[in-house]
Amino acid sequence: METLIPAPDSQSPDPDATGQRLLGTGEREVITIFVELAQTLGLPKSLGEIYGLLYAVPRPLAFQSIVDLLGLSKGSVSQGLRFLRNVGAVKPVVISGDRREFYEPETELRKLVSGFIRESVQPQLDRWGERAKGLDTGDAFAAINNAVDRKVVASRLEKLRKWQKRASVVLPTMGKLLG
Amino acid sequence: MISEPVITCSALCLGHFEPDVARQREDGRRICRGPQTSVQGDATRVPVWAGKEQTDGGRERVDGVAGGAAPEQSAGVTNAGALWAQKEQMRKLVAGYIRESVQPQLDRWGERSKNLKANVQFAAAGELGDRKVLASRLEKLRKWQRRAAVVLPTMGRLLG
Repeated sequence: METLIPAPDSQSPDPDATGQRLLGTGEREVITIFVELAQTLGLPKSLGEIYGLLYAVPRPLAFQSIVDLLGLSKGSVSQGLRFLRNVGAVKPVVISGDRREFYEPETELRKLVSGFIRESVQPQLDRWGERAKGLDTGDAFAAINNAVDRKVVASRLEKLRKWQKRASVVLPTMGKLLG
Repeated sequence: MISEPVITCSALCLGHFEPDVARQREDGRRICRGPQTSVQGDATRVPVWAGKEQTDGGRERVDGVAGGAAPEQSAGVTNAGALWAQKEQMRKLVAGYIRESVQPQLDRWGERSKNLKANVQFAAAGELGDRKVLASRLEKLRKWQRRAAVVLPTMGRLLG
């Protein structure tokens, strides 16, 4: 059994006439929560929609059901599921007797946060660290010939490096605290 | 000409991030935490060093140093002010982001999840087992919100 939500009419191109109408207000509210959360984190809205739908539906959903219920393109859903799988927010599920691949949400906050930090925030922090390390007032800011200005820029670069170090310590700690 | 003197920070000011960095005391004196600022309003731009008080008349006074002291005399104050300002700036950035962007989202999240009921509003909650799963997930959603409301401001303080 895939889902209690009735299968939408795949002939109709209008999402309102298919899947979205089959969602209850509860599902819509949960989806809205995750859409807003995704946008706060600077992630695409579709990621919040996909995760929210999987979270609001008690049984695993097949790829096509996600496409139909949300009225998103297959490309968006495919890309979104790939990202969510990479961060560990979504797990593939095999259902006996059905060849399709199903998905269910990870609902352990610790895993969600640590996956997001590991896959999305940490690489960004590493890049930030590399860039900040490579910056030197002598080379990168050769155009600044005023001693006071150079001092200010050097101080700001030092600050940038310090922020990066602090974020590298605090963010994983935050993940543990949230979990 | 601006009648009321307004503290603005120069391009070099490390302390300036939000306008309320320059605040007005009850006695009319203004304090800017930045190491290099100026006062505008009476067509003059007077440099002010970190921690110094700026009277409306443009005279400076801090730790017994008379107004108009040379920057060298205030170097220690300036360095301390710069360090303080760096820390304060990071704190303000993070706190501002949490206050303006994350907290309203958390509040909305709290409101929405509080009103959700597993048995009436969900199209997919037909069977008892499904309703149980759903009820557990909704409870989890409320729990996450409460935890985030505690942890994120703490994180802001730690980052600062």
